[in-house]
Amino acid sequence: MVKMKFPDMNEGVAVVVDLDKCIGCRACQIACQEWNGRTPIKTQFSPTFTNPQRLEANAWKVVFFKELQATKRIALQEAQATLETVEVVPVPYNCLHCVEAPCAKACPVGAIKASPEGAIVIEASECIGCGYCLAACPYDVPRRGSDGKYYKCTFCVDRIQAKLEPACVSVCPTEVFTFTSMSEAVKIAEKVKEDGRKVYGLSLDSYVGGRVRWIFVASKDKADRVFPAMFPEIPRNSNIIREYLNNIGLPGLGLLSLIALAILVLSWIRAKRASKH
Amino acid sequence: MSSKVDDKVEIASLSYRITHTLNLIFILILIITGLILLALPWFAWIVYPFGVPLATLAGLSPETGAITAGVQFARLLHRMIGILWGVTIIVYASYVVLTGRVMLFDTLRKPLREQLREANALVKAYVFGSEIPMDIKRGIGRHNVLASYLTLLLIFGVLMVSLSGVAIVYLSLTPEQHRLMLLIHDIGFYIIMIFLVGHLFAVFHPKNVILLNAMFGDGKVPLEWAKDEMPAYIEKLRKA
Repeated sequence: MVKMKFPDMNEGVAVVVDLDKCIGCRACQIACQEWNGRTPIKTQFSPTFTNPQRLEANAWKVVFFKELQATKRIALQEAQATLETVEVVPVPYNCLHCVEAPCAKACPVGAIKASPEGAIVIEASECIGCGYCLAACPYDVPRRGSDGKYYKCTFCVDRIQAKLEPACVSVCPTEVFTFTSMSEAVKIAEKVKEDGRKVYGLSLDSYVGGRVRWIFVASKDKADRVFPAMFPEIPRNSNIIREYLNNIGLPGLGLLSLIALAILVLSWIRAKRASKH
Repeated sequence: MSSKVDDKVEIASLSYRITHTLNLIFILILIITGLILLALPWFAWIVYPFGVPLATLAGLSPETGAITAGVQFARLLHRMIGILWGVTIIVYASYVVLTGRVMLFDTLRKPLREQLREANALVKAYVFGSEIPMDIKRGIGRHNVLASYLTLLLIFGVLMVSLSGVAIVYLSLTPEQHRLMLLIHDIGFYIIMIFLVGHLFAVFHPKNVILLNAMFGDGKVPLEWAKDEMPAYIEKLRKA
């Protein structure tokens, strides 16, 4: 595990993603591919609109279409009709850029860096393709490319450092994304909460640093059904156990070895004395 | 595996000694490369001696590429040696099982109360230098009860690291399965390390230096020493 210095959770940039505004046009998905020079992935026939079916080394942002069962009530002049229907909720999804990214801490060569703005970026030239980042990520984001290296959203850190918004943010026709400072994003999210809507990303486990930099907001009904499906509230248990195990295990082994060594030395001294006698 | 020759008795056959030496080399490499992958900040100093020349060979800057090249080399070596180690263990384990040469667990056939008495006496002897009571000593064979339980621990650890290692390298795992396999691999590593600390403590103990010399020598120990340290084994040989 690599010890890293991350920007403070209240510093750097963040994006508030308002799911209630998303129309699923996928402009963000295309803009991401275009700006980052990713090879297009051939659309495959599938039972959902989502294409590709998951994040890929060449698809750092994917709009997932969550199909939810919904009950619609139609008020007629003399009666009320209730319809059981399917509601399709588009969820633009990419790396959430955890405040203290577990992927960066897990990378054995330190190939995953945190920029001063808080963007978590894989330096491809340093990646050795071990996949520890994917194993550590609670959101299953990094993906293996055909060259064996891992890739994911960079938060368009190149654009941010040139005082531009991320590519996906800049093209959204319905202003789903609000790109701003973390402190401002928190204020927006708090306001959303006061309005009775729900927020994902502000109060999370210390495994991700307590917060992510892509904060999702949605109406209560939508959030109750989309958030649990998209984002785990509890980080991966096996990762937590590994972290504890290694924090205790290596010093414990060192201590055990020292005790064994001390007893050995004493035994040898005792044996030498006994042989003299 | 065992034959009495003059005033010496064989306690480690040639095949056993070869396998032991191979195990020693493979485990040492696996531990070093594994520690690099497990906790680089503590073990980066091991990487630089081969990381810098490798980075230069690969056309990377030695300053920034040493860790990348070195850890990649360690990762590949870990996988290759892991396979060789697995093959060695499978071949030797099959040989000893099929030829009925497994003696490590003979002592586990004793009643649990006897095993506990023996373990207690051994710990006191190894740690505090106490004498082992004669009635317990008479029952000690080629391997004492602590060695048998440590070996069980080793088998358990080896199964964990080898099965999870094979799964990580050869199976197409989901991220969740990959995480679980890494956890099992880590637990197996710690179990093996506990065995190794115990094993190294025992072999470097003044009581067992003769065994250590035999393992890296001709595989034989003086008969008088064996009569004193493993009387049940000598008795078994005598009867045979």
